[in-house]
Amino acid sequence: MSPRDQIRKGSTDFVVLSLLVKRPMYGYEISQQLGQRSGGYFEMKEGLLYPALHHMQEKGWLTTEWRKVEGRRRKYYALTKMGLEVLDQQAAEWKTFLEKLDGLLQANDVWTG
Amino acid sequence: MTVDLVLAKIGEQLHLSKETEREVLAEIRTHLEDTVAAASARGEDEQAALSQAAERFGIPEVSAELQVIHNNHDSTEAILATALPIVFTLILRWMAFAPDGSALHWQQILTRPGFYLLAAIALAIPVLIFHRWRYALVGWGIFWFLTVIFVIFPSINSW
Repeated sequence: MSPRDQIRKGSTDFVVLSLLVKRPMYGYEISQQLGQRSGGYFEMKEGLLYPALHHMQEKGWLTTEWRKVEGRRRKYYALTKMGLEVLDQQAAEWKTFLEKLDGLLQANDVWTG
Repeated sequence: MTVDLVLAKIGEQLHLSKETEREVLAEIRTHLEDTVAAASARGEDEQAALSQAAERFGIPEVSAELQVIHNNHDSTEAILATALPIVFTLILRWMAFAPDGSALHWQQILTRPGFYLLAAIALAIPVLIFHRWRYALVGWGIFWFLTVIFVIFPSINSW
């Protein structure tokens, strides 16, 4: 697994939760939005997305509801209160991680070469 | 390749409760149909889009992961669905048998508000905690079965 894939896998829960803050979405919509909003960086294989969604549902971070839209039954995922708390915790953790990483790389002039 | 064929391949590797399996496959079906519809709208080849989507799912891997996630959940629910009515029936047994060992009859049991409260709780708790409402009804059925057995055969009290 490449470093990029490792980072993406490690951030799967966070990016999905952050996408669902504004409104509930269904699986296909989530995969499309992730790709579009990140310029393709967070484009996620379905084989990774659906197990992640179901896992977060089992943990109580997401709740689901089947809706019939344009003749198709779609399973919508929405954040629960617990999911929102987890998102806040993970956001703080990622912010700290990025700050520390930035500090480390700047101190060693890695960014500028 | 068709959507049904892809779903059949995933379904072959899932060994979950019928209800869970149906729900998982229904969700994947919608995803595949959306993928094909989007490809068609862009003027792309639908078959190629479906093949790529099936590849991105990684059928053996996604089946295995979903199996692990839902299997644990289904097993826990099944154990709880059996254990809860037994607990409620034991409470009923405590209510139905007097300290001197004599058992109450239906007429006496049915005059006790506590009996109705217990029956309501025996249904409400499973309905609230289970994802599958059928599990709650199965649990409630076991509760009533054991209740009837207790009242009809009061000698069980000596067990």
